[in-house]
Amino acid sequence: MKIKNIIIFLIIILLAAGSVYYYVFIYAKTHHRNIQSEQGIAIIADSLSAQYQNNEQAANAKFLNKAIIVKGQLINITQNQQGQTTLLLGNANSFSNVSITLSKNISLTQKPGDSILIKGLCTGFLSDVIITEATIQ
Amino acid sequence: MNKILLFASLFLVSFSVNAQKIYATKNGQIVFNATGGIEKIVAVNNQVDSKFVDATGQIIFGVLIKGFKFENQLMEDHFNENYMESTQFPKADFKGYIKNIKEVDLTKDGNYNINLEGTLTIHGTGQKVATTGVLQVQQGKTAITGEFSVKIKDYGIKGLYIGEKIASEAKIKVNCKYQN
Repeated sequence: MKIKNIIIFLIIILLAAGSVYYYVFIYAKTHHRNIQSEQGIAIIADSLSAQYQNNEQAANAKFLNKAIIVKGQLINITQNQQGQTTLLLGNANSFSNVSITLSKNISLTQKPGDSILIKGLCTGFLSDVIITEATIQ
Repeated sequence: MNKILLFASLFLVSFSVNAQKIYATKNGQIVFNATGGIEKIVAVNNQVDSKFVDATGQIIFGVLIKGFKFENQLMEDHFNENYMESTQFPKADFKGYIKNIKEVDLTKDGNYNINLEGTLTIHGTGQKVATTGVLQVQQGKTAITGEFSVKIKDYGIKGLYIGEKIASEAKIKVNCKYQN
């Protein structure tokens, strides 16, 4: 009877250790946060950059680490050092705009001057408001 | 005649004042490596904002902590929440000077060793740092690369496993290609 209890106890411990290992080292590597499935906050690019320029702390409280849907005029299209497409949205005459890095393998049909709608993660404000992991809506 | 000379010299002076040029990028790269044990602790950020002025050597790098991508989501969450506290301190930056900018000829191809001095601010804590890097000029394109270590505890970063699974000194690798 006692041996049976010890065996059951050991099995439970092994299962627990196994599931912790699975979660930490396997699940967490293959399951990343999916910005696209989160509900996004919709905003116009000019308004987003204006809010960050006026009060960065207040804007961070609203937008930092959140999924954001931004609409705006495409100023330019470039590529980053890893070959991902980056976009600048807003107003070419404005001091700060919204700088967007698209997720891998997303093709773009829009040209500078066109209006565009994207969804991505807001990581904060440097010279521009930074949005990463974005897709075109 | 004197007036013409005066205007001509003023004109030349204004030219030399305007001659300084700003090199900038919004898509530089920083790789963070704090691997202390078997498990790889590496993150990449491709939204580094950097500018430098050729005349003075003044230079700035800015990076957002939440823009660092890890292979492991759990690691990324812990990095942001338990160590960098990135909601409270969303960015890190370096502000300083390329001390030997006069030795660099930005119009001539080559690899120039540069010495950087300034203040590195991480986790809301600023520390004076001096490091070296390479400024590369190739076919009119300018890039700066460099690698240095930071002692995690110097920046008031607490948390478990520092000095064990997490190295006590993190390696920071910078690679910025500037648009002219």
